[in-house]
Amino acid sequence: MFFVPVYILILAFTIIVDYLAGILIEAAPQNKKGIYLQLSLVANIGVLCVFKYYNFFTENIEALFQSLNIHTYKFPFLSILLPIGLSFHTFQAMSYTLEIYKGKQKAERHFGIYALYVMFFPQLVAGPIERPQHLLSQFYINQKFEWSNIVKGLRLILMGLFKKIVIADQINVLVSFVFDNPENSKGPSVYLALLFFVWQVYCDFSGYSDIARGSAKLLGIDLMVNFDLPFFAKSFNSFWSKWHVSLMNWFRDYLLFPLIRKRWKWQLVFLFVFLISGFWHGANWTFIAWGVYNGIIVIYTKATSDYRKELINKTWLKNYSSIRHIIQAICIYHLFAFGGFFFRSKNIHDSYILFLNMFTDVGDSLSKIWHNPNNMRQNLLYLGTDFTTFTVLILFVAAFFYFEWKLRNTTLDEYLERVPQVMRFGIYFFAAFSIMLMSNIVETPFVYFQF
Amino acid sequence: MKKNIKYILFILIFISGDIFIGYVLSVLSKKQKYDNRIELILENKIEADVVIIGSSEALNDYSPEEIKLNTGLSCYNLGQSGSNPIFHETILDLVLKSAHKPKLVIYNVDDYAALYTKSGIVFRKDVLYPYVDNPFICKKINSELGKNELATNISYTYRQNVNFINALKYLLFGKEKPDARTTNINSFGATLVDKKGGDEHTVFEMNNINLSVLRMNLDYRNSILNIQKKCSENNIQLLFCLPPQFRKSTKGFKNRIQSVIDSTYQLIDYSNSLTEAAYFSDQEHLNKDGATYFSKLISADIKKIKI
Repeated sequence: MFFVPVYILILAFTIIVDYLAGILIEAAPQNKKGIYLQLSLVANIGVLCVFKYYNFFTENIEALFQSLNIHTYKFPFLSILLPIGLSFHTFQAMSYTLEIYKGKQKAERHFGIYALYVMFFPQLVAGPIERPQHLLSQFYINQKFEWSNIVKGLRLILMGLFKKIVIADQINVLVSFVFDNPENSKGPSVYLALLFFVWQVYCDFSGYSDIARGSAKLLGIDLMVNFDLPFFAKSFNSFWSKWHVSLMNWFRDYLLFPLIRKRWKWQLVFLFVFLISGFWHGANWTFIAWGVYNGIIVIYTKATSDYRKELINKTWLKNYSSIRHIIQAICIYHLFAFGGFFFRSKNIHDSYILFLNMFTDVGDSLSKIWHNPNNMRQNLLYLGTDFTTFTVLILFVAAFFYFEWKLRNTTLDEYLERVPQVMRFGIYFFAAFSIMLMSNIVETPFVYFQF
Repeated sequence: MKKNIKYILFILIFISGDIFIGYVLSVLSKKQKYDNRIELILENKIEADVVIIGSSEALNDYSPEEIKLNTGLSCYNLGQSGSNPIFHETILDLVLKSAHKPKLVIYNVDDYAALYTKSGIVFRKDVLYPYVDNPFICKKINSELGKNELATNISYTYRQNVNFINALKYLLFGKEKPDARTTNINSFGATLVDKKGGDEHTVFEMNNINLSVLRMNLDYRNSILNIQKKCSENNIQLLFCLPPQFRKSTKGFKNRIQSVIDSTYQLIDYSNSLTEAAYFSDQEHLNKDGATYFSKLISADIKKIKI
């Protein structure tokens, strides 16, 4: 990460463009609104394309022409850094002009308030991607100090730091051990790394969202819930309505619904939306593949939903909803985890190697884990750590999972208000001391900062 | 009023918990370590005329007992496996801060790892973790891990958190078992390896390191310069040694290291002084017999130095 002050101009550019576009869209007659909207979208997507996708496009165009043996113009390589959170605040800015265009939001006349909407510090770098209706109006509330806001905010920050420092950062060591050495990682190690990767990315990103929401709450501002316990969802489709909610809602409202209204085939719409969602994450084929993978799974689960329900009704499982839910959760967890082959690998080749290696030397690796020759269990099972570190991590994950399970039908605040005071303070102590014990042992930047 | 008392009580319990957890971590992690040489330095218990610093070659190749027998000078080995010159400088700093300063420091130079980055050669912060209560070590750990100075000073648990896993290991498995090559420290600080002979087929393997394509690690270079400066300021003699090797030396390395060493200090090249496989435990390290033999050789050279 680097601090380049001049990059503030990118933000300034999108803020000025969208501020003016908002006023112009509102003032323009119906038949002219679209022009201003398009100008605003082109400016925003243009910034994204230059800073995030330019090198990816030019490299691939060149590679395509080279493979066809056609000599073409050599595009210059742009040695620029990707501004932190670019995809997030650009999408938030776009939702502002889109909502005005739809007539659901009035144009903001106060430049400072609008700039704050784009640059509101807690969610500037990694969301949640807010809608103007929800956030802009809150900036007009005359905030007063409220102790309950401080308590709620600090609770969220504590929860977020726990997820990030105690779980995500520590798991990163194990996951990197496999994904940074795809050739040497075999059988159960790859499988374990995939399972851990889910926890890493979930705790990393939802941890950030909690910290963002908590920081905003301290100022009296409510940000939307970005992760709604996605791993307790009952289907893969419902999982995606609980994972990175603000982005998925953005795609739903501005891409999925309009395409369905244009009578595209629903399968094609879902595939397209997930492909774009993958591409949003990064200018790499791995993210595109990840998007397509998830799109295919969603289409499959949606298409076979009735058939699977019928199938379940014919088995003993129909009477055991809890067992059914556990099986569903395990399936969702694994389906998402296998997407990690693409999401976490450096390139498609590494994904392919890891996929093949997961089925290689399985018996041999299991035998080595059992018999532990030359302390091989350390690499194969503990993924480069040792028994103690691995066990501590598993216990932290288990404790966190148990806590999330407790929250499945309630909110963090409701749960903490309900439990006895001793237990509430016990949870605070446990979280605070766990953070203090694990912080700076391993430190990893937030995964979603790169997007 | 009742609410205020509740908050004060909460803060008091938090502070007490912080001190208690930090204290427990500190005590247990110290107990867990088999190699307690840093503790001996901090407690001024090392009273040696000659101190050896360096990495695993320093630890395995020098027998302080033999040097004492041959020179009459008390000697202690402070070599640490896998350590880089920045760590060696830190060890020297700790020695210089202790009550007993040595008369001679022998700095064992690792072929090319003394000036170039080599995998497995690091700043061994893990060795310093149990002694993080020491302000100098605390500062080093903070800068290495990017820990916040203020938070480290405020919270005892945060300061001691580097010891969490080792403290748990002590609770689960007791004291660390010494490793035959790296931590099986004798009363003179050295780890002398019993294993005899290397693999005959790999012994004279060519060392293919091409220094011209490697970029010199300027931090390492600065540490070697600092070691000389600090020894000079404290009137301590300094001797640089290239230890015996069971492989060919890196071409041009001796000239590079010589160019970093001040002309007032001596660099003795022992790299070809032992050639029998029976003296080595592997290509780079001497075994006990080799260390004894080599220590006799170096003792003869120590005697020539005016101490």
